[in-house]
Amino acid sequence: MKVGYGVYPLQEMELKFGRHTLRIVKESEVFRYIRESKDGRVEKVLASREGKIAVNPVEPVNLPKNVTNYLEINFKNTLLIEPGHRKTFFTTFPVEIGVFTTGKGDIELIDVFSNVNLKYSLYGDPRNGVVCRYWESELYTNLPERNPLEEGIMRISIRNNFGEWVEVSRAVFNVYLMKIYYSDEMVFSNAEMEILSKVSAETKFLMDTMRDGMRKSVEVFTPRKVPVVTKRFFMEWGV
Amino acid sequence: MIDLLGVKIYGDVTIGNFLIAIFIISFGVFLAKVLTTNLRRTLGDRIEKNQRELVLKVVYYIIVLVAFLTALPFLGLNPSGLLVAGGITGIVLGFASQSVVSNFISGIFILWEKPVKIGDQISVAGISGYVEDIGIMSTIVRTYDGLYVRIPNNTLFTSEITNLTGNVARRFEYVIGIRYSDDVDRAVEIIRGVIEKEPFALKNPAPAIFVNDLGDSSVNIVVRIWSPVQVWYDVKMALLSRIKEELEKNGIEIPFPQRVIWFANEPEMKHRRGE
Repeated sequence: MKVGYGVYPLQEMELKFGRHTLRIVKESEVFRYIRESKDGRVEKVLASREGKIAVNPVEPVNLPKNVTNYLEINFKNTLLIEPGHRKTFFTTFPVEIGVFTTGKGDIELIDVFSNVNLKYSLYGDPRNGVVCRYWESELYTNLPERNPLEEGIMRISIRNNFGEWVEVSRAVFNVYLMKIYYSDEMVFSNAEMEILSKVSAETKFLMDTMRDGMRKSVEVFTPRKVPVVTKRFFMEWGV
Repeated sequence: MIDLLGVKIYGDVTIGNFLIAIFIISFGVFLAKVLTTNLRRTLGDRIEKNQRELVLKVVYYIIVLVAFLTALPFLGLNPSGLLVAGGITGIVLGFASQSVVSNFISGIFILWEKPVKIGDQISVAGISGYVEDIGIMSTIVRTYDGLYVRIPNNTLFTSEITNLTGNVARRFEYVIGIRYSDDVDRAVEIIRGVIEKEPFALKNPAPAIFVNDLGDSSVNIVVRIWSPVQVWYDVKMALLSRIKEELEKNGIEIPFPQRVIWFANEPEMKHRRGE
């Protein structure tokens, strides 16, 4: 039984991801994808002669079903940052694991699952706000160690462009353009937050990886919409 | 054949002119349909369905209007002349088509103001359901029991519209009665625990759980939960039974209505029974 993210040839195999077990079983001309956990069983038939299976962390807004593209990370320890100062911290973010199949043509998402609790929240008011995947994390100054099957590490550079001290207790991101990198030891994403006032900021994801050799995840969300997907999210209902 | 085409129908309009006019209008409609079909395919799910349908309608009607105006001279009608000749005819037609115009204008205002979008769940003029289409003249609603209802835009525009899915989140409420002998704080803690486990019971705004009423037979706890609008009804349906199960598992019961009756002459009755 293998443990770990990666790209595998489509063949009989068994993979263990926390409390989830993935199996690919060959049956005459087709493959059967089976995921079992204490929560239940997911089974799908893959009609492909030859292809690959990619298992990697994906944007954490797919479960139990996708209702939003936003992720809110609430800092357990509030940050007070002086005017003009920039500081890089580390936070954690929830990991959702996506299983993709590739063959001739496009890449297709088969399944998404997670080993952590799911919770959502509203950022802003019910009329104009956005529903977000909710996550609480410490603001670490050093790289924390986390189980890559449960939590990812986000490096976040916070810069105070406002002329006064600002209290920062959360960061909200649009997961479009979220780049996730993974290795056997770590799931990683890189972000930036620019504080514009006492109650507003802009966040965006960066493309840099943490270490050489980390693989880039296949993304569930890509900017397919016609209106230009801004690379930044404007936090206008408080930081 | 040429002679036949040259036969005058009325005024200077010949059969040939008439056929050309029909051809232009038909071609315009054909072109509009082809273009909107391709545009629908191209846009796909890249923009919201509501906006996409609006764009398609505008494109369709503009092409048809241009074709119609192009065909008018072949029918012996000069559009600029029509403007001059409007006068009384226009007023008469205006009165005759009052409801049509009213629906049309209302349709434009609805598309402009956007109180509802395609896919929204609305309640208007006693009708509740999903908005299937917003036309220039009327709006189509599919009721929850699958009926097709056409609401004239004038009715829609002048009625009080409740858009059930207009905001990103909405609140629902339960009233849960427990016995007077049960521990209220423990019950609140259990209910909070169940809500915490539900992903779509929003963390913020936080759920409110409090004793609202000391009823005849039960202590009534009000539970208010916010949920994303796309899933609020699913959450509402699922959570109450989970709360009931969890309360019962912990020995907290939801009582039946009951009344304790004390007889005024009870001591005397007991005495007669020799107690």
